[in-house]
Amino acid sequence: MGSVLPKNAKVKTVYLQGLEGCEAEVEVSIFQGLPSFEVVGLGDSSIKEAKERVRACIRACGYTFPKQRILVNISPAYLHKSGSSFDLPIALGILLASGQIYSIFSDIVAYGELSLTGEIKPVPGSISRMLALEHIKSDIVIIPSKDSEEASLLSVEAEGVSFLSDAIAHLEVVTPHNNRPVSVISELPDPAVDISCLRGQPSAGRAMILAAAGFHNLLFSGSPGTGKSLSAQIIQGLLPPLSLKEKIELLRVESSLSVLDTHDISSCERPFRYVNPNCTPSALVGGGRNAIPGEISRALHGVLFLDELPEFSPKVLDLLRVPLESGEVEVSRNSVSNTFPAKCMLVAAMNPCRCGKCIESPSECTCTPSMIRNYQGRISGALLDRMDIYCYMSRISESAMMEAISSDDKKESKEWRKKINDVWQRQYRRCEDMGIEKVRNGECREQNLTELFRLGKKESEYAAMVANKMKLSVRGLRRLVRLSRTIADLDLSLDVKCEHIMEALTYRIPMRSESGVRV
Amino acid sequence: MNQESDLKADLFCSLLISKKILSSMQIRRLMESLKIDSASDLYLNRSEVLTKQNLTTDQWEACSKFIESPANVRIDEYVEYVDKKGIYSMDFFDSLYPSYLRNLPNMPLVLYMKGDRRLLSEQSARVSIVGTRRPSSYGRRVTRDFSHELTLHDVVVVSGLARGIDGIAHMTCLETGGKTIAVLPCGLDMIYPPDHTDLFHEIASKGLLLSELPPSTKVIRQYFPARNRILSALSDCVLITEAGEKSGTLHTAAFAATQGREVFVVPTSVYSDTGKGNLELMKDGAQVATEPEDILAFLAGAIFFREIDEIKDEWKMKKLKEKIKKMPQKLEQDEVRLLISEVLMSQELSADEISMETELPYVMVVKELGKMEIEGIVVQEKQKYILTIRL
Repeated sequence: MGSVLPKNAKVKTVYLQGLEGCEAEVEVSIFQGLPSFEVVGLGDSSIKEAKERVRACIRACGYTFPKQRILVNISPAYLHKSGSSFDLPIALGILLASGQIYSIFSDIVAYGELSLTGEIKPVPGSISRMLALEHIKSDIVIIPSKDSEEASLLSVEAEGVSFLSDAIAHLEVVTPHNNRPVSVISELPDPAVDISCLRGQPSAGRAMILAAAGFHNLLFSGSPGTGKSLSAQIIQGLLPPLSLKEKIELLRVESSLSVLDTHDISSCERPFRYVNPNCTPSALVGGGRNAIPGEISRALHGVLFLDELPEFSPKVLDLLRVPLESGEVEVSRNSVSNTFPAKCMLVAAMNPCRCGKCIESPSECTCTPSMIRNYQGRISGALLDRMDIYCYMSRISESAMMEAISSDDKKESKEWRKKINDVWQRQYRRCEDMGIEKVRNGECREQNLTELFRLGKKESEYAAMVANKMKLSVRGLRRLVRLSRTIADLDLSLDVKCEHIMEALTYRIPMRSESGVRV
Repeated sequence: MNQESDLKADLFCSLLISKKILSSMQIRRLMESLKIDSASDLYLNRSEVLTKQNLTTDQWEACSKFIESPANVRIDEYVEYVDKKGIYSMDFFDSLYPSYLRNLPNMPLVLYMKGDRRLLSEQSARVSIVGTRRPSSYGRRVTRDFSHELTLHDVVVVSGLARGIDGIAHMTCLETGGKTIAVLPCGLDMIYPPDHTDLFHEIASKGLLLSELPPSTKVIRQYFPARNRILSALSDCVLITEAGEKSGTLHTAAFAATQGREVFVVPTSVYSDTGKGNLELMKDGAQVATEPEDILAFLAGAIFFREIDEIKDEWKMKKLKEKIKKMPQKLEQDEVRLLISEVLMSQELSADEISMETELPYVMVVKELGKMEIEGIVVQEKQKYILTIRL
């Protein structure tokens, strides 16, 4: 204890900022003076509390907590940081600086939360951290053992440890990796609801297949009890499995919210997010104090289902406009702006009026025209403009009803899923040939659709004529063309033909009548 | 079919009519009562048919006089002359005589034609464009625009070769590369009005000239209204681009109304003298056409129903239904259309219901529905499809 010079140690770490894994350096300095322990560098209260966890943990592992002045600086010091993942680097830094342990590596990267008994616990954001680790220079990476599955998924070399003592052992002696390999992507389970259970509603079935085949946004309208919510679930079963890249993007979002379990990692089912009308803006598009992703990001590459669309506050719905167009959502918190992915298929369901009877049994409908107008008016034209397919679900006839009760167990969805997968591959290939980003028809934001979608002169003229006749907007025309392309793809047709445009036309959103009601 | 004897018989009938010996109605009644079903039979057996028993005394006397007159004696020369002029005839008993004419009263017994008779087929759409002989610049422009646009959509333009609107309609149609029919108020070896000689020859080679008057008949003013009745009968609808207050065009409109042909009128200024007739017609309830699409939409329906009429209650429907059960993929689009319109005829249905009623695959139904909607044959209201034109 003779030296007056401070003893220093440095441990790198990664922390979560929005969805990004960011690099930080934990510097520990121990010098003479009255015993104190301070952490600087704009940490929030979870980092301030780390002091007590680290102190208890070091003692629990049989080391001594230095009775000197301890200063911990987390740099870059000008950025706000939060989370309990700094526990492990602080503890290692203190032990290294006080000379109680030594390391055969110079660049150490570590993160993890400590328990009072010396355990290392996983923290949210594993995937983002792994992605960041790829860019950080390091000799050894120490992560909570739970995260080693993610590490092997992304083929990051890291040591998964369960106790602080294990971590120390890894630093002092070279030990072989023992990453838990993941059986990366498992088989897709059978669809929960099969498409064959929709009896007597071939239009809804076709609309769903088209929506899935081109990843188009879809709006269901219809009286209560006609199977709108059921249909949304059927769509999930029609979607092909996630690709590895999509899977990782989705896991990045999910892992930032909670610690993933093995099932989350290995499943390749596309997400289905059910959102009910009392959803807050930040829950839908992301936000909150620490800018966490909302439902639209959690539905990444899957289905975002908005039930009872007109019951949503118009303000909330309007927030969807930009993300649906750009596939991204931006949330600013603490002077940092975070970009979350928002590529999803929007499926919405609505009643034509509040009581839902104004179309099928107008005599029973209790709504006045102005009520209906107000009800439908809650959905802005801009949002409707983004719905590629509109499908009205009518009440089914008696005979179809009989079949619905005595339904036998068919597996049509599974076959369709295969077909839809092929259709997606066709769409990707087309994009590749044109040298643009691989997208499905519904997500295509290219300006020059005629070339990409192989629309002949005659067909383009026809589409323009139709749009003019049916008084479609330019956006409406593009929507028509996109949907026609999907229909052509399902037909295995190389070029879009007039008949495809004709079918696409029947899925357009109805015009407003003189009374301002869409019927 | 023996064209020459046909022509001879037809000329013989026409002469009987134009000499006012017998009216065309009387000839038809006579043939009906004697169960003669072609003009050539009538001609060959004329001595047995045109007897004292079958005719009134006056008629019989006139008849025998005519048979001895040089006109009849030298009929072979006449036939040769007509044939040389490229004129041929078609009578009421010809299987090619259009059914839309046959169904109307007072239609000519014999039609003389020069040019392409296929223009009269039931599949093509015909629109009469008629109007004043002294059009304003507005009238000219409207006529040109409508004639051009309609021709682009394969509509056959029908008119009367008169000066003014009629001539412009024909010329625009030919310039656009379309087909046109001119109905003349004189024999087809005459050209009336003479300043349209070039147009006459062009129509003879590219379109069809038509008249009910036998060749060599000169223009008679009184005949003009009668010509107009054929004009309107030939067409699916009559478009009046500009008509004066007391115009022959108004006759055409009146004929069209009694024949069940739609009359379209292009609006004119209330201060215009040359367009007063248009405004009168509009007051009387004529359809207003502000753009060629108005007429095209009407034609789509008209043609469609002509087809439906043809098949509606025949065994074809039964055959179609058998075909659905066996191989729905092999159905032709127009067969699908027929089936859809058949079920929509009696009720309004949603796409789902149509698919169930017709037992057709949904995708097939929906493709055709989209097409029918664009063509204006069905409209969607409250998610149900409705036929716009009911029988």
